[in-house]
Amino acid sequence: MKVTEKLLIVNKLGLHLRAAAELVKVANKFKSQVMIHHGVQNVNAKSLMGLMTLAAAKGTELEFECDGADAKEAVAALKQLFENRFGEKE
Amino acid sequence: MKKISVESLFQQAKERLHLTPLLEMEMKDRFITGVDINRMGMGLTGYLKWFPFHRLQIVGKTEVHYLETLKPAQRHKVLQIIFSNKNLPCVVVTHKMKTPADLLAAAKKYKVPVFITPTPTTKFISEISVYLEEEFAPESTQHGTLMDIYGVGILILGQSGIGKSECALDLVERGHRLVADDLVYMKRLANRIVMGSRSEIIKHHMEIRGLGIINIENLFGVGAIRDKKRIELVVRLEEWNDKKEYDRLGLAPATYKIFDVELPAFVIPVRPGRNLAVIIEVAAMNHRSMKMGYFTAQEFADRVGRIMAEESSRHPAHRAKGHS
Repeated sequence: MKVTEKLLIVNKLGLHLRAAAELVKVANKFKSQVMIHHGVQNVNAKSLMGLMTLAAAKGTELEFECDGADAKEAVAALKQLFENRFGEKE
Repeated sequence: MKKISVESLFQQAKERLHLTPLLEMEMKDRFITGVDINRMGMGLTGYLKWFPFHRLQIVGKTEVHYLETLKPAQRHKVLQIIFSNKNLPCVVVTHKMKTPADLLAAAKKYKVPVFITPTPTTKFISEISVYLEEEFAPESTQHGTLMDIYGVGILILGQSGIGKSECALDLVERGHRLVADDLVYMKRLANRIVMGSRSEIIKHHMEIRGLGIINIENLFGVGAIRDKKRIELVVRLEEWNDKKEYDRLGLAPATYKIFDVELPAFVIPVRPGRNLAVIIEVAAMNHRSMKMGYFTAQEFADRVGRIMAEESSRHPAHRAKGHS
């Protein structure tokens, strides 16, 4: 099953190293493949280094594509993570 | 469609192509949209039906001398038509020719950047074509690791967590070079070359589970890294699957397609205790030996065949019996 969802980065610092590490942790909880499409870039959300190349600041919208049996749950968890600002205060 | 501004062409290639601007001009809003260039040539006679305005325009010796033979009014007219076209990216005068005043006036009027180069026309055309081919080459990214092993560029693919980075670290320890880890940038160049390089942001950083982020350049020195390398071989790491048949002979290597280029590829099953670095190292050596014309699997098959033939000719009785 393939699920796509656009998620907006709302925390102040954007997708910096620590936030990316949180994202990797969440993505790795699921069996599904989790890809991010951003412009011409396609990166694997389960790999930290790939995420860093996005250099995604606050206000950037990332398109997630989850593919696998638990794709729906993965998207829901990711959505929550983004809304919670990766667990950051601002 | 990709386009590059004349500004970025100038900034990136001014030294390589020996370009000097002749006029103070805004270059950001003029664009080159393809690899083709155009010598103004026949267009100057006024035959503009097929004139490719959108290409980078070249004015060489012939053009400059031809313009001199024209009557001022005629020269003025044709230059106005050419330079007023909004799609014209820029003009390069080669051979360090003295640029006609009319041409410069028209360029100034319509804000078309004009450059001069000492390079002769034909040489300049081949140089700028190489540059534009590189700029407009198809690009893509791939999740994987790229290593230079004994001079062979090997792209290591596999699911996240299979151990690509650990394997790369092992290979670096053995004296091979890291090009990119996690994300490989690929460009399809001329002559079916797939060039792989690293991201400017990641450089030679690596994430090793349990250790965190390490910098290969820092730990192992500049000898352990390189910025780009042609991809010649693809190795896919896969979790060992008892039900799957793995290649046992290597007689017909599989291929992996990147852009439109088919590269030889291996699937290497991963199991604890299997030393992947050694296997990949040997794959590189085997690839080199094959390039030098030695095909191990085929030689081996032929050798066995020869021995069998010799045996059967020595014992014709055996053969007869065997066939009955």
